[in-house]
Amino acid sequence: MKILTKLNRINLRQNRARTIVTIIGVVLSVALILSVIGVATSFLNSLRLREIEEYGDYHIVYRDVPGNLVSVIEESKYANIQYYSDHIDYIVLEDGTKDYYVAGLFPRNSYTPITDAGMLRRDEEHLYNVFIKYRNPHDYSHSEKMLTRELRDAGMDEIETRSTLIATLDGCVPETTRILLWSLSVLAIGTLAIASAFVIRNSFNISITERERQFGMLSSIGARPRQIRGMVYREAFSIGAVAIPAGIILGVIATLIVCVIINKLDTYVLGFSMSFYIPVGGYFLITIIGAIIIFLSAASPAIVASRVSPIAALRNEKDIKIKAKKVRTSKLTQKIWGIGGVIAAKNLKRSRKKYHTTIISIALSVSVFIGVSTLISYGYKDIAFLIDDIGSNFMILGGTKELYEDIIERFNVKEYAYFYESASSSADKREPLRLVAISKDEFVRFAKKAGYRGDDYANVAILRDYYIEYHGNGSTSFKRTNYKVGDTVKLTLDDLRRIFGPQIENWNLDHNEENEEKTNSGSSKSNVKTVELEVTLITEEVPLGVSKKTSDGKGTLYISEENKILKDASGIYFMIRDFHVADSGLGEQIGKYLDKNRDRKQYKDEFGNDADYYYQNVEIVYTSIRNLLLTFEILSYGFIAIVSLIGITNIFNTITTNIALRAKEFAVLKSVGMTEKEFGRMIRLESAMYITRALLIGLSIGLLMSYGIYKLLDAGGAGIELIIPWYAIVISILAVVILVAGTMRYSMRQIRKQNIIETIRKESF
Amino acid sequence: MSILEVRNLSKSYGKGDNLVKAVDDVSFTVEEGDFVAIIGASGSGKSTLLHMIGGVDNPSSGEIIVDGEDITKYNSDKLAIFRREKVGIIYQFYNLIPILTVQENITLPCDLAKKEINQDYLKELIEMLGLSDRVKHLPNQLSGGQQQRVAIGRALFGQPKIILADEPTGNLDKKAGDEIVKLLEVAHAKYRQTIIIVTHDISIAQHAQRIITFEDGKIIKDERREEHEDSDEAQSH
Repeated sequence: MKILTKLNRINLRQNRARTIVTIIGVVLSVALILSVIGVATSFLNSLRLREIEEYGDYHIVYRDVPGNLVSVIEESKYANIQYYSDHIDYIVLEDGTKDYYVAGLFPRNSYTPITDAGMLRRDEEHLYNVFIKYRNPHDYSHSEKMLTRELRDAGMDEIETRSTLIATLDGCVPETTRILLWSLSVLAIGTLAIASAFVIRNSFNISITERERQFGMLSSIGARPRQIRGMVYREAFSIGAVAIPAGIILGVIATLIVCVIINKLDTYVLGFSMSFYIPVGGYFLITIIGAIIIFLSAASPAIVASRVSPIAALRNEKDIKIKAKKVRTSKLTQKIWGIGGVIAAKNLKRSRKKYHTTIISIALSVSVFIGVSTLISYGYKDIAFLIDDIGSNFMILGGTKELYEDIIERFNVKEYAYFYESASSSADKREPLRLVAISKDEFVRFAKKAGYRGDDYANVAILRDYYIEYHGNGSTSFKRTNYKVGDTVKLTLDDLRRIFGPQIENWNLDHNEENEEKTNSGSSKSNVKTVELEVTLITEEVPLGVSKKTSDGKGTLYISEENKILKDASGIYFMIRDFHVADSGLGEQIGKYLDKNRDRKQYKDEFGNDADYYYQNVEIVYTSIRNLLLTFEILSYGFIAIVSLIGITNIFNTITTNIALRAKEFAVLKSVGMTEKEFGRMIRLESAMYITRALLIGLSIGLLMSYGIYKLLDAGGAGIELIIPWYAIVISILAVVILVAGTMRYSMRQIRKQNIIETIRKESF
Repeated sequence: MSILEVRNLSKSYGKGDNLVKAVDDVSFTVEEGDFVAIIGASGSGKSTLLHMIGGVDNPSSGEIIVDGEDITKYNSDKLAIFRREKVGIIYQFYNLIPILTVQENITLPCDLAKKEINQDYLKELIEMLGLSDRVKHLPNQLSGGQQQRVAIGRALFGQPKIILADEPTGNLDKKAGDEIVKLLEVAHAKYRQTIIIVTHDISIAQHAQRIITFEDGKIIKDERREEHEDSDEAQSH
């Protein structure tokens, strides 16, 4: 037995490069699987921490429990009371003249929810909310049932319960997020485990092939099949003993890095920070998964090794099994590529099985790379659609001109725009147009951008005649109006009171009260106003804050707020619509300022009426979305990178061993006069042959995946463009060529060092 | 005219106390068209000498002049071209390419040199080797004797200046071995090729015109057997 162990050790050491590469393959698989587990558990744990932070770490709350029943819960074997609180959330101080003495502040315990105010001494009269932790949360439904029954038995009728935290606890019955997260993880882990087993099995297979003679010899001197199987398993065990712990360490590091990256990039969209967490069970699980992967990888090679018949191995029957038909090549191959090409082609046919593994590894990596790249491209396109459009970094919808001006002055805003919207219709039966007024500075900028060279901005009307028509089935098309430069546009402006009712006067309008006509009754009179404007320019440009890619179903005529139509408008024809700040980095300050002031009465008085508004810090949202995308990108490219790396270990092992096993054949070729150059050419041809095959398969599957993604995203008729991931295709082709060429170079160097006659003499084929 | 001249050729392995001189300062000449046997016990260095002449092993010192050129000065590319054009080597273990058919193995040196294949000559050679019904077979479908005949075919096909045979019968039974030697004799007679054969079997060496005896890396005897040529000629006529 000892001698077999020694043989193993020598064998592993002799093939150091392959042993190391195999170990790297296992380490990467284990690390990748552990980080998938780790990211999932960390995510869930972070969710739970946030839940605890926001609501407390109770599992369930019984509301309105009479004081005398609290003890029932207290004594229950199913629950641990975290605390109970009085039903009163706050106290109204009725008499302002009375003195109150603040005796102290109750510090907030880690488990106290923000929403619950105080803790009181228990007495019989009050109703209490009882916050409970189950003694055995894994069995919470049973505990809940039993506890509720106990309370009922004690005389409590209505029991309102609420569970929050329970869903994020380890080992509890899952809810949707959990199911999704776990099924995704299980899918990823399963795929990885199978792929890894496939790859590692290949390296065992290679190791067995190489030692077939040794096994035959051992078997000829009486080694039993079980002993030979044992040798292979022992080899697997030594690899696992090194690779699994290393993989776990690497996996932990990878998970930590993912947590750090996510926290660095994003807290806004996620809403909480990721904290590293892998339960002990996770490490246990990964060890078992690793062991299973290795065992599965070694099992079939071990059986193959134990079945090697002594004489077949010694005579090397492998070659005897080749049939001339199987390795037949066409005359054309010989014509085009010469004898080197013939040998390369025949060799591919001979070692078809071995090359299948390499081809599949390459194809798998390539197709996954292309698929994920496509997905990322679509993600980016979507974000770009949102981001590059408006040019606005902070916007307020609604509000008043006074509010805007206050902000502009207070924060020294350089580039901004606000808009007045009207309710317009055509007065001469031509196509209807929207009439929109722009704040004067932005209008000047916009007019210049649109190509206006004059300076009579107050009288310029710029038509954006390009608009999007929305069809009933959800699809869209781009249209143009039939107005020309110089046309006179006749529009009827509706009094906005007619649309929104008289209360609009109290809203956010900006109108000339001096010119306002009042009816006898004192309420605003509803009327319409007809205006005539000459189209000065037609443009496809848009002002700040307007999307290039969306529009109402009609063209828009832009005028300056200085236009006399606004000045003269008697009645309420224009309503301030929105405000955009292009300056970067102001959003947070403005937001804070608005938050602080929006409810202050004085502020309301100062800036007019009950004007309601809504603001959005577009910059932060977009940065956050971009970061989320970046996180997604890092994770997915990281995933691809490691999957590819595992593939690379496989490709490296297959190619180097294949070359090493054929060293003798090469030596013979050289001895009958093959030059180094011709030899290199032959090897390159052989590589080119299977690279072509692998790329054809990989690229086709990858493109099919891209098309599938497109079909899936386009299912709603959203008019998504088909993306062909050219750069991913180019990258994968280059990467594969470089990888294979590099590996070939490496193995050729090993061979070149060898003396021809010594190689020939080594053993027979 | 001498086709081969070996001058002060040495090959040693190891260093210091472990230094082994496989070939120790050997010099000799071989005339064109000669049939030479090198005999000696195993480990005497005779195969090493043959391999150095064939350009598949590098000498430690000395010169090997084939057809007027010193091949020890060649770089690896020139040496490869030398191997496919000037010499044909026959090994004890045939060393055929397992994925190439009999015919492809025979024409391999010519294919490597990208020379047009002379089909008449190929047919004649295959007939002489007795492999006419085996041309499409792979080496592993042949017996040892047949495989060795393919190896001879490969060595002869390029019509090299020298045929080098390293224990060509060592792996064969008596009958197959005799056939191989006969073939070599026929080739020698028919194509007037220079043949150097290394063997430890004196009965095989008896077929040669000249026998060089090797011991501990040195030539200890070099004798010409004139009567052999007559009998050989008598046989082929």
